[in-house]
Amino acid sequence: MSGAHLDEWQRRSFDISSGSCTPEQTADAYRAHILSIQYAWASSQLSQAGAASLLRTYSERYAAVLDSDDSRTGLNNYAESALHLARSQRNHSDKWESSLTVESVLELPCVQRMIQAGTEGGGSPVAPADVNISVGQESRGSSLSAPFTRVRSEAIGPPQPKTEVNNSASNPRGSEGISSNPLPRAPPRPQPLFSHPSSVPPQGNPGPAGGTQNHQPCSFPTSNPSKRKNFYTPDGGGQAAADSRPGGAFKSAREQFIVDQQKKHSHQPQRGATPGMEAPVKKSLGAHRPRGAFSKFVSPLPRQEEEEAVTSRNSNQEPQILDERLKNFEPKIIELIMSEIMDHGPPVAWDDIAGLEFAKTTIKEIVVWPMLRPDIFTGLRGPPKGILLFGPPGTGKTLIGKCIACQSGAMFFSISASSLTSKWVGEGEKMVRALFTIARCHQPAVVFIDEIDSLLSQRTDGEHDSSRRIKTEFLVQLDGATTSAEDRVLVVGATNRPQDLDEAARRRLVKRLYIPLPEAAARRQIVTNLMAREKNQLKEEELQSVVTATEGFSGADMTHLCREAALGPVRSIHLSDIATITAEQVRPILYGDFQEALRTVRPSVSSKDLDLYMEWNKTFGCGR
Amino acid sequence: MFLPHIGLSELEDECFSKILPKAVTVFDSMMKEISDQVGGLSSQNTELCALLRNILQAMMQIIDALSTCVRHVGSFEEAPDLDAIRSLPTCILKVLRETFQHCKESEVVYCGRLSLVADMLQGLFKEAYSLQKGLLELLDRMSLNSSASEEEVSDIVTVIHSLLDICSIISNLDIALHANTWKFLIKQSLKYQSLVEEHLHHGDISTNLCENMLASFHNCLELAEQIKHAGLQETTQSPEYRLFQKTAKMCRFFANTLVHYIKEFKFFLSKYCSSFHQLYLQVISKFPPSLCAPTLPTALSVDLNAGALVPMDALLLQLLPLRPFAEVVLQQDLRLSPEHELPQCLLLVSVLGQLATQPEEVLQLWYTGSQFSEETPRLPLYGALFTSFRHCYTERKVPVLLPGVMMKGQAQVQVTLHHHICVQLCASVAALPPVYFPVLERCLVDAVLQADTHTALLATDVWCFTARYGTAELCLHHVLLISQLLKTCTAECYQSFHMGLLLKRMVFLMTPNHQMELVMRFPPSKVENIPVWRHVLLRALSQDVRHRVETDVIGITQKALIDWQNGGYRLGQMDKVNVALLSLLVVVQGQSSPEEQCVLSAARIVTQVWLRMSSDQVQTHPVLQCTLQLLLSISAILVKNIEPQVICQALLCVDALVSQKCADQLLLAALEFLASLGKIFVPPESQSQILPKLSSLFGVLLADRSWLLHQHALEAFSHFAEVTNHEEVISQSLCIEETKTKVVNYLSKTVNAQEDLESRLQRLKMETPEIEQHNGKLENNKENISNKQAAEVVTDSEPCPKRARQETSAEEEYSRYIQTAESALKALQTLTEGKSNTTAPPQWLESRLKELQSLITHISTARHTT
Repeated sequence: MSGAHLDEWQRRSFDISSGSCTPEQTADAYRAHILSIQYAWASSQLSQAGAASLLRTYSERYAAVLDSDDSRTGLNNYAESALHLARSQRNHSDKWESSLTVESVLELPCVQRMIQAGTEGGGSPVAPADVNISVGQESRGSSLSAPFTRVRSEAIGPPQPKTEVNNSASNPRGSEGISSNPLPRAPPRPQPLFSHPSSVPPQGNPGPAGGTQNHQPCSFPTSNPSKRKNFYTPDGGGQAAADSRPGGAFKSAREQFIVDQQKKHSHQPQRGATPGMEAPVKKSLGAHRPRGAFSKFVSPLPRQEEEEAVTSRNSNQEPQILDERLKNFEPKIIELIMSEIMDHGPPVAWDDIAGLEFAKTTIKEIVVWPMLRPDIFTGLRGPPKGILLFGPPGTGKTLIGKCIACQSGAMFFSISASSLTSKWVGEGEKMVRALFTIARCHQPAVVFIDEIDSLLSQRTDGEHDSSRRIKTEFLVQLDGATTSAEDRVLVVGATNRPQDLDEAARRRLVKRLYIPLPEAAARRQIVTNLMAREKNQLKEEELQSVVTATEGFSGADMTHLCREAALGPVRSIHLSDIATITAEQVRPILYGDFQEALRTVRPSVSSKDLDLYMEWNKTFGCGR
Repeated sequence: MFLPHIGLSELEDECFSKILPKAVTVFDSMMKEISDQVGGLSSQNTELCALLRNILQAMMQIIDALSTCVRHVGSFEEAPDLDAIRSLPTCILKVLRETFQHCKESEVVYCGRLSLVADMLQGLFKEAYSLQKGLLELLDRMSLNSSASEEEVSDIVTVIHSLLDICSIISNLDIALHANTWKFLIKQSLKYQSLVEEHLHHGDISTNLCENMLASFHNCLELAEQIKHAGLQETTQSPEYRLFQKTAKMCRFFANTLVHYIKEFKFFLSKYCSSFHQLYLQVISKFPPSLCAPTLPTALSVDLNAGALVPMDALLLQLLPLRPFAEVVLQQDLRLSPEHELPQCLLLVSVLGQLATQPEEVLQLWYTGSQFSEETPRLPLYGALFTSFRHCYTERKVPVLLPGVMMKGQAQVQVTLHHHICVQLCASVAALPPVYFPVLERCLVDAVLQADTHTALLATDVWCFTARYGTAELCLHHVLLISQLLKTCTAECYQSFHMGLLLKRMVFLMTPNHQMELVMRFPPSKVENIPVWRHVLLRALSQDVRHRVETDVIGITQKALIDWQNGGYRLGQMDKVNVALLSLLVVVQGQSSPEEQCVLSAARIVTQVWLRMSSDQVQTHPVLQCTLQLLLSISAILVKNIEPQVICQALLCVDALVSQKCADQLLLAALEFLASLGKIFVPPESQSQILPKLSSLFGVLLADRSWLLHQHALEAFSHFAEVTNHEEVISQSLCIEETKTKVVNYLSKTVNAQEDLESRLQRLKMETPEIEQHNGKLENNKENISNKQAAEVVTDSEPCPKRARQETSAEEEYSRYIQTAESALKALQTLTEGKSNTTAPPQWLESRLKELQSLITHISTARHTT
């Protein structure tokens, strides 16, 4: 029995010390250790106190792995996976409020049990009869008083540990050693202790921590290129903007180091200036925190395992195990696609898109549902491989693309022609191939191609060879010999020049949806949404007349109009007042501002253009 | 035939209602005849054989005639009203039922002589088959409008129930017929949903569906085992494989039908939620990573997944909004068989995942737990998940692997159960609406304070995530609460270990200002706050906070020592000294360089206490063993600042204790100290005192029988051996051959061959009850003592409600029997009313009815008296 336990334990601890484990494996090994200890306790191979001391040791090491945000040795509380899973949902963490108080927590049954256990075990550990036994000498009661007075008087003087220890150690139990020996003791001397700060160089982190951070090899960034850029915080826009650096959620060690460096140099003044500001601002460990609070993340910490950590760092293995299918590509390309093309923007819900009911229903039916329930949508019901969204500019085609990815829980890749062509002449088709391969690794995935006409325009004789190769590769990847029916990769193209599209591309984008200009109801929704965030005094009928007056406006035009109108109150402020006026004194937006704005903002789409779209929609589209 | 000559309007009154019941009676008597005669059947008795064949022939003719009726009615351009042919379906279904029943029992009925009539039976079956097909087609064409009379509705209901009856008979006869009958049954129920939903026996239908699904699922598993054993997986065309595929398809059919049925009739199915729950658990338990899941070749498992696993998700989605289902799943003490523990855990995890898209009231249902005493008690989802995780000991220990989250283009990896659940929990926490945060909090407190360390660890992981994700103020608030609890409970119990671990991790996540606030609220300069600070790692604190704590702690340590000294080194004060040393240990652990001032003062304090320690007293007084342990731990860190004489003293004490039986925590501390001795060079004058002791101690400890101590001795020894300058100690420690081989093996990292999976699994299963008992003992022990108080708490909070499941199952039984009785009586009623104009009911009917009446009065009076 115990042999098997010992073997398992040894196997695990060799694994841990070998340094070739991923943090996940290390954490699992420590957990298994803890379980073994628990079993040893349960089967009385270990006393409670022994178990407690071992559990303390190993849970400390475990915590060092789990809470550290160094991606080599720590797991960062599984934040990456957890937030990946929660990516399309809203974050309410800033509104969490604890319901427990010191009193109420004591009422909880589990806490009462704990307290009960505490009082029950609280007896004195010493038998009453033994209380007066003197420790260190069994038989000397009478001679004690003398040395004590001496000790007390000596205590004030400087201690002389060495010689006296020598004396006493040679005869540790003898009464002579005690009586003649003023024990080397540290009298209560506050001064030297309080003078510590002067002797220790000021540093933000404990020394060793700084050391490890310096060790960060330059390859560090590669391991987290696709960290989510930020959490979505519905009402924290201002603060999120203040902290727009990538990885705002959990700091990587290097970022932490930079922050610490900055703080070291401007430590004091900042401290002095900030308290007043800090107090009202809710500091969150999550999405948006003012910089002052970053020092909270003192991890990654060199806990017990400084030595081990060093050895493992030497082995310097590449922690990223890429999918086999990606082996043939240059890491540079993959990294680029992961960091630039994969999109990690805030989640978009269907309700965020005004109007376009037909397009939304169609898309839900043919795209979102199949992605959610692939088992039902098989065979003839299988989802199409491509969708084309076309229509005048500024009508929400891109937003729909994002929404598809969000709502179907798919990975969203967003590319434009420029990202494929300009940087790597001649490498474009490799990029395309890599993109699709990565997308296949991340199924379900949505590849969104904005302005697809520029990428897949009619193939003509005069065009450049490289762009032709890109086109061909695209067509092959969309629907060719290398793709299989089970792939759940959807290509969404958006264009406002559908007529320029290559006919082969047109065939592959099976569903071609016309995204028209917003109707009255949709325009109304846009204005209401935008105005909801501003101070305004728009009456119902005024709103209605704004909506009527904006016939032929696109969604982008509507936004432009609202912006223009929102500037109205500011324009009305006298130039001399602008410096002194408070934000509250700016008057709300009125209908007059809209009338003013309507004079300058004109629709960006002409009716001639619209006819063109309608015509194309009649020929190729699959709308009403 | 004469049928074409009767108009549709008169068909029922003139013909069907008169002839068909008779046909049924005749048919029944023929059946009876067969069963009477069949006893004498043998190949010699040609006469009897011919008789039986004749009867069967006649039966076939009856069926044929019925088919003609159906065809005739079907030949009208417009399907007739049900009213116009109402005897037709009922009678035909009776005949069909009899026929199928006969075919099914034929093997038993003709026992061995089956071959004599097999051809007839086959013919009979075929006829019946086509009759049913015709009838169903006919019924399919008919339609009722919403204003249909009650009679018509009850006819439809009878048809549906007879079909259900037939379904259960033919389940083993013919797969296609079975499936088609079910399809029709469900289709009819949905077609007339608004009319019949009040009258259908939903319980029977859903139970039958569940049973059928499970039966085909188990068939699949058996077939798969056979295929695997026969090594047939290569030939996908083999008949076994085709049968498997067919069965898997059936399984999928039943599962999907069930889901569909639940979707349409969910409000009538609340009583049967526990059987759906059981179904879910049974299916999931047969798939990996469950430990009792068979390992199957990929092709088979893909089919099986599609057949059973995939529909389970859909099933869950349908059941999610049902309150009774939540009540069944979240019951307080759900006693599951060991193989269903993991499925339950996974069920809860998938509920957690699916909740994100559910409306508010569903969230409320699952997240909050029962809030009023009149509700069926249920746990909050988080609480249930922690409980369920705690029950999965074997699975945690193996550990079973689940697919991880796929990200960043890396291949999907398998992760352990803890990892999986932790990620899912954190993901759910990340999207948790503020209303439910208090529930989460309470569940976390509960989980941290229960006895299973691994579960507490999971809760701690989630709590730390919550702390990082939430606001800094929240983190501070939690830390203050935890500290308060630790301060209140000073005893060494599992609760304080778990809380201490949590505090340790949370302090790392606080802002410096908040850390300072913690210091203000629980000043380390007060002795009563030491239980808090002993759990804090000082390196978690920012520089100035840390200095403050160090100063305070050293201050009170010194004060405690002076008090002790002034009091005459009394044993009675020793516990205060121990507390002081404990806090000193905290300070010392946080030190990085040995030159710092507080290290020096700590070393002085330690030296002072060491010199008072004598091995005799340590052996007799447990409180001194505690002191010794602390001294050893502190000295292990400060070893470079400690004089050789003190070391010698320490070794003497340890040596005296090791020679007899002593507490293991002391040995662990001693090992720590011994390992640290490798770092120093012993001056030549004390070498003769220290080194022999050292080697003999190592020798003894390495031979310790407890495996954990042995392992730590090995670690300590190798640690010592790596850095020490006194190589002679190494060889002297290893004078026993057995110890030497063990050490050499350890150093060369050789481990024994791994035990095979099967026996390991067996061993782990044996361990499970041991751990559970231990945990139970830890928790109950405390409860027994606090019995009196707990009883008071219970009485004034809420009365203990009855256990939910018993209640529902009893009620279920009542309703089932009363439904049967009702339907039988109704059938009797239709029979007597229908027959009144043709033939009189049998004479015994009157008397039997009276008997029934007395029985009913008896039942109702009995219920009043009890």
